[in-house]
Amino acid sequence: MKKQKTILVILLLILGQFIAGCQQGQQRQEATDLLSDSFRDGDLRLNDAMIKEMISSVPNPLEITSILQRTGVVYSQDLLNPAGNVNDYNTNFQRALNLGVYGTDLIYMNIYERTVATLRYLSNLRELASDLRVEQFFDYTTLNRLSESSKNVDSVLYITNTGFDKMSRYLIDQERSHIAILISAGTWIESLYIATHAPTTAANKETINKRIGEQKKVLDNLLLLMNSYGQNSNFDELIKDLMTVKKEFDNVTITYQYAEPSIIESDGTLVVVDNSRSIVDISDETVKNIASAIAVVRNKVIE
Amino acid sequence: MKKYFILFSLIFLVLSANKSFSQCGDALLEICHGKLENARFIKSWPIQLPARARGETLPQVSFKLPLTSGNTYKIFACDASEYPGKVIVSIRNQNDDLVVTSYVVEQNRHIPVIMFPVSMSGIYTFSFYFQDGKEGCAVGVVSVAD
Amino acid sequence: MSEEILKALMQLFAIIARQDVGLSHGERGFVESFLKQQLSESSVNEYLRLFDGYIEQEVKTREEKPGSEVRLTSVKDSVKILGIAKKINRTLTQKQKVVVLVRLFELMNSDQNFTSQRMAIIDTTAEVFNINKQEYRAISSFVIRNKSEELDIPEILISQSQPNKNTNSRFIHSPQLNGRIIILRVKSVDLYFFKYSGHTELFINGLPLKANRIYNFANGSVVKQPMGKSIFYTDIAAKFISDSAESNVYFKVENVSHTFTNGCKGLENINLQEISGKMVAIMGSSGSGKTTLLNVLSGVENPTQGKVIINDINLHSDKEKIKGIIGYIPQDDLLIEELTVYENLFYSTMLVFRDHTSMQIAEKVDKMLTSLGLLYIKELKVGNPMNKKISGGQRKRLNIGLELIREPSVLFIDEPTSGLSSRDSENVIELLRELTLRGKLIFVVIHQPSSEIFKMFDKVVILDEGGVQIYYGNPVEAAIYFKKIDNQINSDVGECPKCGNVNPEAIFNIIESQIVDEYGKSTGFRKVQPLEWARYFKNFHRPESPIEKKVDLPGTLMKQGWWRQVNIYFRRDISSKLANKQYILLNLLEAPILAFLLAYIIRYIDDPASGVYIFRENANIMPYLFMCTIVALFTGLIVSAEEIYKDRKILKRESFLNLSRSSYLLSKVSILFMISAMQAILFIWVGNSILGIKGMYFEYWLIFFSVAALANIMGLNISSAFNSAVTIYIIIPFLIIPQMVLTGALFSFDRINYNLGGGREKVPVIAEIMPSRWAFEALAVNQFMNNDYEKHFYELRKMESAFNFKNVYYIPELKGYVETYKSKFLAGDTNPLAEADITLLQNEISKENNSFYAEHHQIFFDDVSRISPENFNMETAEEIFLYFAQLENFYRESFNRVNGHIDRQISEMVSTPEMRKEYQQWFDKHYNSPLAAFAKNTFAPLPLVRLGNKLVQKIDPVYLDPSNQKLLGFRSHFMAPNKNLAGKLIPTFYFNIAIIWFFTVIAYFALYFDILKKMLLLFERKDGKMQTSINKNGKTTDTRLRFINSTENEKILLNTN
Repeated sequence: MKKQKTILVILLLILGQFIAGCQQGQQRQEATDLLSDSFRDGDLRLNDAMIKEMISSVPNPLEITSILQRTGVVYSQDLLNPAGNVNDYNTNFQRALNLGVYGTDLIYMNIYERTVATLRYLSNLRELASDLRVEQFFDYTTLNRLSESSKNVDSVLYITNTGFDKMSRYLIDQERSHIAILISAGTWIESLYIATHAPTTAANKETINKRIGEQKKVLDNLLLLMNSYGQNSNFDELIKDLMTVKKEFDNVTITYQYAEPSIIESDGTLVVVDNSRSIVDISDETVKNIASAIAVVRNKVIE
Repeated sequence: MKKYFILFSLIFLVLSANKSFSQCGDALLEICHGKLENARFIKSWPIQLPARARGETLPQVSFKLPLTSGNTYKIFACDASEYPGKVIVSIRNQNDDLVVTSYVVEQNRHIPVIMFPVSMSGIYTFSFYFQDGKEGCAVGVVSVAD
Repeated sequence: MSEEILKALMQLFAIIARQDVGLSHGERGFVESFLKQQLSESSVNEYLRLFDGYIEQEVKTREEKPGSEVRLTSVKDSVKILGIAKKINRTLTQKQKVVVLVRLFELMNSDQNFTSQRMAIIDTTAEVFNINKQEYRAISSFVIRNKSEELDIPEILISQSQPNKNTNSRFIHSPQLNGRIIILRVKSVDLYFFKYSGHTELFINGLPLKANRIYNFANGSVVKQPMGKSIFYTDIAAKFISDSAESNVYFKVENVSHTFTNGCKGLENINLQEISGKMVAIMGSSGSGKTTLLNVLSGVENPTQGKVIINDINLHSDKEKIKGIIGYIPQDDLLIEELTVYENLFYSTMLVFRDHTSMQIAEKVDKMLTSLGLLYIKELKVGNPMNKKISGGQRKRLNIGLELIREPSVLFIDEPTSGLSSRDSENVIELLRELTLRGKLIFVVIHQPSSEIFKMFDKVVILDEGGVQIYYGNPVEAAIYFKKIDNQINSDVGECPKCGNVNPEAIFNIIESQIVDEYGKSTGFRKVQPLEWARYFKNFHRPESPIEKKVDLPGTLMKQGWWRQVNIYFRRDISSKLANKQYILLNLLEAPILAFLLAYIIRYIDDPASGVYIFRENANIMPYLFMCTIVALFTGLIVSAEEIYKDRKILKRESFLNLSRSSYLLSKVSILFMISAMQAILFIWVGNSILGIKGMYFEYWLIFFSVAALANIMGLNISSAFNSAVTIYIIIPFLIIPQMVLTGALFSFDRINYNLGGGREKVPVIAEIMPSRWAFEALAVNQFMNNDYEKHFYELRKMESAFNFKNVYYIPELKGYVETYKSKFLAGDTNPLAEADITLLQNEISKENNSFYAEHHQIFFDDVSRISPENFNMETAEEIFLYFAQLENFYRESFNRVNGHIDRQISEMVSTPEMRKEYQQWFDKHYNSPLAAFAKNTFAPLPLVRLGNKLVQKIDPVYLDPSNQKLLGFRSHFMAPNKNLAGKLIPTFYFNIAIIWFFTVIAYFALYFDILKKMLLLFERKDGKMQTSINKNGKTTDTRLRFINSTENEKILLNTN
């Protein structure tokens, strides 16, 4: 009799399995339908080869941040996107932008050798990357270990930069260039935000302002890249926001004085002596306006 | 020591350290990475181009990169040994004026490293092609020297 | 005597005393001495005052009406007596009323004043008391008459030295008695009264006895005379109970020998024959095999030679036929300490009389308790010997009662008097003696009995070392026999002529006496060896002529009512558990307290600045799941580990009851399951609430309960197999630690010893047999997959994961092999690719051809046979390349599509700030990121590994269905969402629970057949050092010690030589 009871229990369990199995089956059906779905997003865009060529025109945040550091601008933690915000990014759009933002923050911190503080940013980077399914480009374990000492700054920067590089190329190859563009956009927005909000002194103000002004050309390229995704509402909004920044940049004039470069060669190294000059004309007012305009965009991005 | 360590960890990073992987690709960057010395890495591009077909133009690939005045850039490229092509890089400014190229035609000589102290900020175009249009695989690296 | 009786008596005494002649000095003296006999000094005075008060009242009423007629007063008294008697009627039991009546007679008898008025009063009283006429007459003659011939009625027993001349009264011959003892039996209330007329100093129950006084001869009383045999209650009862059962059991032991498994002789050629109604003592020095003999005779153990026959049925070979007629009362306590005296007997009785109603059983139990003299303590808990609630004697009697109630015909009792006071011992033996009156045959192993007890046996069997039978016969004669052989003076006198004592000690002194050297020191050598004694006995003993009497055996017990047995066992166990408040409290509190401690400790806030607990961020959910498993195992084991062990003695006794083991086990199991289910509810409720695990209470409960249930049965297994509580608690870590190690939570299966199956595709075999691994996996997979958040995306993410894996890791890895081939081939390498690599390609490509997605992408590599070491060439390589390119294309597009789909879904969910907040809360409350990282194996050092000629995916196991489609290919990688069974995918949650229950069923069968115990016995037997007889468990060390001692003695002897 007890045997019967046990068998009954097992039977009930098996029955339960099938009921649950059916429910899951439904969901699976829905998912497999996607396989034969003919929908494709982003039909209208630059071709991938062009994007690949263009995308590197968004500067590496390392450049601007190292200029800040070199010219004696002090480090400011307040400029960073708070690490805890990572949990709020749920869509690929948000994740991609903020992957760029956190990437810039990470580089900024490393340039200033705030290595230990980077640990949480590293884990954010990993989290976002894995949500975007591009986790293979960050060797988190190694980065984490390296970040324990400021002696490894160069290595961390190298790994991070090559990682971003590869990731961006991979995304374009995978026909996910919009993610790559958003990551680049995030990097740039955060770089500009840091550059415009870093506390400058009279001594370095001019240099910094010049570098800010030079971003005019970069923004043009970035907008060009982004415009190819114009039919997406999220993109549209971001473009609209960036246009306000662009409007401020319109007050910047850059004049180029081109001259033939001369070349000196020594020990197998070719040193180019660039005789050209670019003159950036940017007023304090404009810098201020750019700063407030980019802050609006940036705060919306990291929100 | 540090470099070896990075090298090691990067090789580790490349998928599952598959011995059968060819040099062309990510591995080439790790080899090339040694030329970086004290400069800070900014950008790299893998370049893989087929041999020039008869009647076609020279296969080449370009990338745009903003360079900032005041910085000195260290630019170099490495070839994958199993391909015949030797890579040549040429840099043009935004007016499409040639600034420099790594091949000295007169002496038929390749310059391994270009130092470029920039005084005119702007978006430069980096073009890569292989000498005589041979098939080749290479990696180009831009870094900023301190 | 109770207060009511005393008060009533005082009143009645007063009335009677005042009749006619008034209070005589003798009467007051009687009242005083009567009271003194019943009460303490102070109470005597109190009641005496009460008596005097009543007398005074009588006098007063008389003085108030001085001229009134005597006759009239007497009528008034009659009315008064009627009143008192009626009042007494209401308060006293029939027994007490009889006592009152006897006392009234005695009062009148004290001055031999039997006036008609007095007689009238007594008549009235008897009438009101409803005492039957015949008995009334018997009481009257018993009190008043003294001469033997006047007492020739069946209610009377006379004991005297003169021969009996009466025909109706009963008789016991006491040759040395002066005068006579008269005993009255009032049958209706089963009371005996005792009176003695003579000059010998007698003792009743140890108190000196006064001539001509009437004593209540209670159950178990004994009257001792300085010389001659004592008169026991049973002797008297035996005389009265003429309808005592006929002897219907004929018990014969023929040449029984027994050798232990270690080769030691346990019994040597034992011969006995007995019939019903006898009480036989089995004696011998310790280690002489008394208990072994008892075990063999009762059928617990089989003899190596010889046979035991009951009414022509071989006890050992035909056990079934005589099951139920044998009762065995081991030395150990068989009581359930949490139950009351009554309950102990009640449940035991229910198990025996399964066809009786509760009422009938209650009646039986009450009757039994009465005859055991335990009725007044029936509501007391028995407690344990350390924490005494009832006395040792009471315990023993109750133990005997457990067995008696089913009325076995042959009863075996192991040392019923050990540890009891001499008074208790006598009571117990007295009780047994009484049973023989009812036709029972009783064998008692007894150690150092007192003379009184010794004499109560009909026969005694004396064993010597090695189980040699050296005497069998009358106990008193035994003393004579051994003294004679020892050439002692007085050897023809069995007992001490003055005191009547037989000293059994003396017998053993003779048996074991040692050779004394010239200095008077004993040498350690026995004068007479056991076998020598046996020879003496053989010469002496004249075997009784065999009684060949074929009688039907008393009805054996029915085997029926399996459910009823379950029910009884269940109720008994439940009431014993409920009676133990501490146990109940601890069991109920254990789980919630543990859950609280655990959950509260690990409930932490990831971002201390925010101060808000977010479930999603709690990194301790995975450890919590692990702890749930371990706690379930632990609580399940602890609650059951001692269950059977605790009952083992009771079980041994009940094995004579023809009860089914499965009913016992099922009742145990169901109670334990109930406890565990309760604990599971409490644990999960408290733990999950504190940690904020939303929903899924039932799923958690089911797993917790399943594990605990399995642990229950595992615990029962060990508690059934091991023979001490310490061993059981030593075993528990052995059961728990491997389970902890091999859950897959503490140590990744990828990082355990490769020889044990670590780092393979599937869970190591050694872990597959760990219930904890199935439970933990079920919990973790369930928590990850079926939480309210992931549930919505799971199937999509599963596809996304598969496409991503193929696209990012799998195909590039495979492509690598082909690339290597190409480049090496171009470089002129003659052997561009190892055979193993080609086989790998072939394996993986055919796998891909058959994969779930192949039917969607329709990209096939048609001729897989070409990918073989012989056929592989550049053309194949190019073809594979093309094939891969197509696959990559498909997987890339599929990935983008699914990824985009999920992203659009989420984007819609967060399209407004309010919705986004809502989404965020939903996500935070249901999804646990650290657990997800565990389930997705995010920290895997390698996303895929090559094992032999196969590639194995290591990341995202929770999104990967096992690939093996074979019938029994249910083994899979760890954290798989589904399992394969007969080619069907079954959700891990249900599958794992089924596996746990499968283990449970196996464990139950192991328990039912006691496999663990049998294995242990086998092991021990092989070991050969331990004495394996389970029935001798208590004695094991004893005999070993003896063995060691003797070898040591030998050594010493050798040295001195």
